Amino acid sequence: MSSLDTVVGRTDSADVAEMVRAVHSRRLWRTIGVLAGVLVLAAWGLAAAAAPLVSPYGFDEQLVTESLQPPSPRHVFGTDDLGRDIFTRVLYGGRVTLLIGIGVVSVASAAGMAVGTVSGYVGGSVDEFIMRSSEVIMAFPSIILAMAIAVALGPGVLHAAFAMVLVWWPTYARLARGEVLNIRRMEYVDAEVAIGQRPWRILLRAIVPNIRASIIVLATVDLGSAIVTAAGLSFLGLGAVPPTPEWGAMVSAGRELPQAWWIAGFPGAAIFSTVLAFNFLGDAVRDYLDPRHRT
Amino acid sequence: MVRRAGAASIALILAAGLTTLGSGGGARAASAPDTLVIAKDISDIHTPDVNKNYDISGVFLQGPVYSRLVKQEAPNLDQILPDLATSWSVNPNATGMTFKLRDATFSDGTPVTAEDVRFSLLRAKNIKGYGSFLADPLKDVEIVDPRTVRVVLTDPNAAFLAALASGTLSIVEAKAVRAAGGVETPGADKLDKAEQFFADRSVGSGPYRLVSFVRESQIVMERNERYFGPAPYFKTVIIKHVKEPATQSFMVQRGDADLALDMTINQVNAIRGKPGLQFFQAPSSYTAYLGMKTSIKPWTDPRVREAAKYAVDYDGLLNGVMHGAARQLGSIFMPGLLGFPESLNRQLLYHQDLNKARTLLREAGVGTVHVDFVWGLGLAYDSASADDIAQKLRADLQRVGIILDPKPVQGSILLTTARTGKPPTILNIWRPDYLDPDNFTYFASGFVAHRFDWMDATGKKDAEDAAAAGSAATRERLYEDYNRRLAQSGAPYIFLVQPYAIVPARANLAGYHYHPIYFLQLESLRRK
Amino acid sequence: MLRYIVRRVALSVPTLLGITLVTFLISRALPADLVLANLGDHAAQDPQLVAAFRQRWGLNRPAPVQYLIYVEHLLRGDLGTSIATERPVRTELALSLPATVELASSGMLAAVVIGGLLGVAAAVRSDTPIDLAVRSIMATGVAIPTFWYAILLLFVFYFVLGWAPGPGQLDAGLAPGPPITGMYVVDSLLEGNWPVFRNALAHLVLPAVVLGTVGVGFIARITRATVLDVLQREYVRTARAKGLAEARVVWRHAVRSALIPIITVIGILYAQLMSGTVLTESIFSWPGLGRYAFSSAGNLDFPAIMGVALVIGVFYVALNLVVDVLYAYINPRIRYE
Repeated sequence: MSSLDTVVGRTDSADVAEMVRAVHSRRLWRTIGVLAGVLVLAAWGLAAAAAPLVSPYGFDEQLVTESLQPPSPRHVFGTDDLGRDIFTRVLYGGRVTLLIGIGVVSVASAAGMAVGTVSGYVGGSVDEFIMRSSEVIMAFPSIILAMAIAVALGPGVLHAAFAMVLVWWPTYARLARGEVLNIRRMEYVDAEVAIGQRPWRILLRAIVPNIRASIIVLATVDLGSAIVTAAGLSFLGLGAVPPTPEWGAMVSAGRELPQAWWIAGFPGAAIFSTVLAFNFLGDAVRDYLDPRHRT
Repeated sequence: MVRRAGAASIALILAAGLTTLGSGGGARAASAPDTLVIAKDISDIHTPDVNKNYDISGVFLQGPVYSRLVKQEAPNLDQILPDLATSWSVNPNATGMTFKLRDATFSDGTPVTAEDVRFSLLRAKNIKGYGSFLADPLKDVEIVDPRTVRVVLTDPNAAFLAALASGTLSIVEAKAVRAAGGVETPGADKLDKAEQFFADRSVGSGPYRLVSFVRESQIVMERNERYFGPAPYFKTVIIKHVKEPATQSFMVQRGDADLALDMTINQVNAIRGKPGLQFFQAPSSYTAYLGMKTSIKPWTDPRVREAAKYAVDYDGLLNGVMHGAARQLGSIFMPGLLGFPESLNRQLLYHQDLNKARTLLREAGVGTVHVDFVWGLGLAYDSASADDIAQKLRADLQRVGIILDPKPVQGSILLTTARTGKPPTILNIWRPDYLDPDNFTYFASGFVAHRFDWMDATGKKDAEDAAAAGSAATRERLYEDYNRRLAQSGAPYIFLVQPYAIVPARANLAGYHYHPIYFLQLESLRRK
Repeated sequence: MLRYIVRRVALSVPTLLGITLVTFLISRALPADLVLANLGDHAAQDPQLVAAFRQRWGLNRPAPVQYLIYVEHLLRGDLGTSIATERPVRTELALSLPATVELASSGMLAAVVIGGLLGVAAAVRSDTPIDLAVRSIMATGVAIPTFWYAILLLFVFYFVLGWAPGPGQLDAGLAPGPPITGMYVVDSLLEGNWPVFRNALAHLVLPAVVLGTVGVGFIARITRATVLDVLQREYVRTARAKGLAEARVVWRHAVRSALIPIITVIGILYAQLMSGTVLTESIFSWPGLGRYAFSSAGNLDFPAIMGVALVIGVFYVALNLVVDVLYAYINPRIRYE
């Protein structure tokens, strides 16, 4: 049915029949997605780490006489309106952007997991209070929170990340709580209680390892969302501030000059590929960790 | 089978969507020759009340719809021209002004009388809006006869004549506003209920009448057939709220807008030479400066402030960053105003001299030093981008060891931040409320100087004496001295640029005149 | 069932109160000078004016009292007066809420239809190039910064191709009739004003697609997972074994069972779209709730901020309630705890 089937089917040899079976075992396409994801992420990570070695320019080095140049051998990604090398800024930007994503998601998931686990395990009025609070946060328009933080503390990468963490933990808390409630009813937890284990040991030993899987799945996909959200905050003047070379802020600065497509285009492509990679990775993690999706 | 069904449905939806798009997108708004469409971000307008409004875009609700006693027009900024008043006299000590009104009517046919003038000016004062300070010098307005009105001031104030040309002091129809709950007596700030009346009612005598104003959407105006002056060319004027400069650019290129007012120099340069477009250019009324708070290190030492003035690469700023679309400034005045001719401006300019800067810093005993630096993210001052200027200044001062730590704020709260007086270093602008040198005198003393904990006694006296002086020659001399005081080495300002307003427009437009207060003179625009 | 609904409504009261409290606390905790922001330099130097301002907005009372007064007014249906515009917050919301509801609903529709179809396609052809392609499309929506995506769409469909109209709710020069619901498309339809209807609808398409794209990935993902899950169930295998055509298997069994989880996420998604419109609204110059929230927060206009937060909160709570009730209705096995 797919074009690959037709092409392969025509040769009709034993080896190819084996390949067809491999395709039908449905591992190949999944593997391609994961592989691409891993490759892209590794490439960006490496490029960001090696930025000073790769580029001869500084990320804030202004060559005013060379402003707004399209990509050329001298500036492979072109230059922006202040004559800064886009390639250099994209490399350095990877550091900031990837750190925002990883930072926000790790803090939010850790905090959410802790809160949710306690909530689900302790139950009662503590549970009720935590769940109501998380509902308040989820129902609260996050733009007001981000704006308030920017007004109070000033815009900046760290403050934007702080605002995002404040908004993101409830999802993890609710997920963790749900899983804890499920697991609590299971026999082996009863067994641990029966042999007189302390509650916190039960939490650590029996429950946390079990909820880790679903949290990791959510977190992988959220890594991408965090990067895109940070870009939106930069656009509104609530995120990374110049001259910080954050990818989202670079796209935001370049959006005003659609004619100089390279200013927004390259950091935009960086965001796009990274978020896509995180998404594929997330799907793969899900398929791997969640037995229901295994074929 | 299933796949094909799915694909077919998707194709169907896409096709349906695009058909809708195609049918609706065909209509060109600007195709009507007697309709003018202006693309502008008007989201800063808080109130439609003309006597209260003090927002930058609010002048569109004031300028074309209302008349004032007098007016000013570029390029002769000093000249005060008749508007509703045909003639006037100022008493020798500048405490009273008598105006003869012309035979004019409001757009509904009611004649403009001295009572309307009295009501409007006192309402502007007593309603205590943002712009009410402009009416502060007013003591009373007396009706001499229906066509003659006398304005009495608390103190001698020669500049008040020019202030009468500002949008806040627009003349409204007293009877109609009063019927809508308008109050002009003291206590109007609590009693007046007419504010929202101004959103869709037109009670002015300007060349246009307001049809509707919808916040973050559009302002629609139609020609006022009863206007006393020459009839404007365009029957309908629509100021369409367009937030993004990039989309403004799309609109003016496609002909959906006749003018785009919020484009910076790089955006303009990107579409230069495109067919169907022309570019109007004029010096804007923005004057940009970098303020240094004298009570915060390292700015406490006047030598450090002077060093910073020599560290800035003015040529690079002017030609590299602004691409020549600006004029370098030696003081806060718009060059051309009384007491600040371009020749004096040239004399007062600083030029980059890194050795001198480094020497000064060495004398002051300052090595590498960090100080916080505030500007408004994403702000544009006509063709100048605040982000670009700020980053250029950072790079320049860094070369002599003054590291400006970027602490920008979200654009819409820059003014609030500036008003707190907390920023140690700030990139800010001055934009006049009315075109008199007096409106630029807050920099030697007064609220702007106060933000930087600085005061210059001579400059203060210059400004005060000039305000009270009746003779133009005396005022000229005093303002010249005032500007020299602001340009002195220890003053807490690095004066930067007066950006040009560069307005992309459809090629068939003519009669463009920049207006320093009202952005442009709508009534003089026409099609070729 | 009725008891369940009543209980849920009662439970939403503390949530809404919590929202007002959080908003209040955030507003008061800001180290920004409310007086300076709203009065300006000149007036702020006049102690009389400042005192009058503080009294007018109740700032001279202790914070807890201020909050109680707010709640008391709220119970009377009074959302207060905007400091920036001096208009009742309710009037202001009545202007911006319909624009956002219109936008979010259209975005929602686009997301459900496109996302649902993509999700089914991906599930049926799971782990094939089609699946990969669909998943890429799904991810694309969330992988491009919204504001940039919006500009790119405007660039292509408005500037280059000329198929779509420019930003805004209507072309310059067209005026909507007197508001009935405040939503231009609905109002013009009710009034039979075809030129405005067509124009308003055309203006709605691009922003709705931009807003909906985020949801497309979300819906497609869930649809794919559920359909995939169902397709592997016993009864589906039985149906297949009975020789039922594959298409009927998919549509009758899989898609139908996928509806339940989709309905549950629609509520969350709709609430997200409602509060996440600020970027789309900024690019398309759409005078909606997101812009209003943003500019109110910038002006430190506390009554307005409280109003926006409350409205979005009510929407969120109400949508969740409807979804839960609907869910219970579709799936009677749920316990009304």
